[in-house]
Amino acid sequence: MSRVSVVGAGRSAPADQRGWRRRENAAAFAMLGPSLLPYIAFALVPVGWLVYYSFFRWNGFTDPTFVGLENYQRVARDGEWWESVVTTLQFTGGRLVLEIPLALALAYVFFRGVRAESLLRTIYFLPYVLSPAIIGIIFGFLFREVGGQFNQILEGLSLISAPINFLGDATNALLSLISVGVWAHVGINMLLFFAGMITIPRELTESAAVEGAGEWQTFRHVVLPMLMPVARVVVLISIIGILRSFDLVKTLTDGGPTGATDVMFTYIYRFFFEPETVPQIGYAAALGVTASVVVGLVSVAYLRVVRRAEA
Amino acid sequence: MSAATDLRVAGREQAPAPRPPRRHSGRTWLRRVVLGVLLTGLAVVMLTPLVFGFFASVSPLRQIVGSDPGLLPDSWDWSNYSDAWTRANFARYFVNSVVVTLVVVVVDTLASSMTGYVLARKHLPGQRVLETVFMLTLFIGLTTAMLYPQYQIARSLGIANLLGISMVEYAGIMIIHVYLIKAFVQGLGTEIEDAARVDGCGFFGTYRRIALPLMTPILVTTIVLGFQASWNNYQVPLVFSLAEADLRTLIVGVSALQYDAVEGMSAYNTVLAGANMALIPIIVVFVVLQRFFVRGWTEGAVKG
Repeated sequence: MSRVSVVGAGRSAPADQRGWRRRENAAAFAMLGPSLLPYIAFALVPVGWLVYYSFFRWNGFTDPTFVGLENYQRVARDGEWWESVVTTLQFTGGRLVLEIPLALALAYVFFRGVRAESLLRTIYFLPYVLSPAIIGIIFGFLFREVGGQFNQILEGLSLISAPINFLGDATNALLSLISVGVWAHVGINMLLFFAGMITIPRELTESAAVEGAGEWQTFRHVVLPMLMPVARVVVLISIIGILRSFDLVKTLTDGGPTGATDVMFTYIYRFFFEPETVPQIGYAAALGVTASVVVGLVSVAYLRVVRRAEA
Repeated sequence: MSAATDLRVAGREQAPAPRPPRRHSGRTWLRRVVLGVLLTGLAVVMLTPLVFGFFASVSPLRQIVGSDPGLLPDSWDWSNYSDAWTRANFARYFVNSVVVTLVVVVVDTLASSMTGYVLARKHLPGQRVLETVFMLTLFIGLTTAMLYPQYQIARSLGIANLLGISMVEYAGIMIIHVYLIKAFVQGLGTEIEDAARVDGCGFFGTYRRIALPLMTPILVTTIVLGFQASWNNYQVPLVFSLAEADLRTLIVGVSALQYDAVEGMSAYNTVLAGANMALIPIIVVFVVLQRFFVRGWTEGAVKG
């Protein structure tokens, strides 16, 4: 029956057609099931769950108590939380300032052509493939003050006279986190910029060369303007990703020394899973919602700034 | 279509491209040398931490916790690896990692390809709402903050186990993969599928017999991305294994041991051996399948 109506849809009776469409849609809906069920259970419901419990005081064991906006008022007053927001922004700013220009420069070098291109590219991408948590563990070992490999190398090259306390000092620890982040992500940003550059029409760079433009001028006045739409997205993705950092920070510094490198999500994690006394689920949920708003606000602010700069 | 292939082709073409003759060939030569030194130096910087991390993992414990350990192993000591495998329970963690990753990749390939196919070929009632909600959850991104409800929900569903870990991980990567597949299917012509429909193939049958094989290129990409995301995932198995250490994956096992090691550094050699065990599989897969990784990253970023 249905087979006929597929071909002769125009000729078959309307009722039959409706039945066929219903069966088709039923099949299509059924095919959505295997991904919609995990999505609803583990991506959609948890969002509502967090928003709901952010209005409660709850330790995860006894009955939750409705407290209205109390958790959010506490977020506003929580000095340590806003310090972790500032640290997150510093981490993001530091990463971007180093990572984006370096990635742009490398992408341009590859765009113009180099020797051993594919070998170099493999090496530059490699850190991005690896687990950030494991990277944190390995760097934590290499960064040790006494006997750490980095201190040995720097002392061996006579670049420093005394070992650097990479992770034990607040400023150093943040700089160490930034460096490892750049190390892990410069390759992927280079790739994305490169993928944007190769879509630039060749005539443009060629005519620039004919008119005697040097490499810097070609980059500044031809490649960079054409790359802007791609670059804007790449930077936005980087910003969002860095603001949501957890794995690397957790395993490299765990927010230390004494909370100086806590970022938003390592701070929140503690209220859920590593409480000093009892878990504060409602408060942690309110922090989570706030963090999400912070990420949204920073993204919007960034987009407004680049749009204004371009206008 | 795929940035990876373009990327290679364009990279090749660029190199021998005719350049305008330069008068100062000496300066050009100097510039190439400087550039070569810088690029090589950067490659060294990228590899150094991994190489020394590996060297330390094959060094005797008393060497690496000493005050002047040197950079190279005093003696090559593979017992760190066998210790990690047998005594630190890493064999179990390794198997867990393999199981979780396998389930994620299989579910991802089947479920995401069906959903991507339906979204590309159908206009179901409520489809626009669904796609808007997909996008919203992607941008709301509560990530780490969602772990607690995710674990509680898994527990109430009776899957606070490896299956639950896989499902939570899948829920985290699914939206982007569905969109990659949807975009790919929209780029395919419908002629073969139409012909199959005329010959009496149902909607699901057309997907399974005709469309699924045609989707192979994009599915290789999502498989590679899913493998990377799941094998490297730290947060989900971390939270699921807090109450049950037997659920640890390799990466969580290494970090748990590192926490203990901070106290007396008694197990640093085992930690590093475990860390390298977690890195080596993905390094091998990456080196072999690099172009699929590259394609996945570029397409994921452009579409996401």
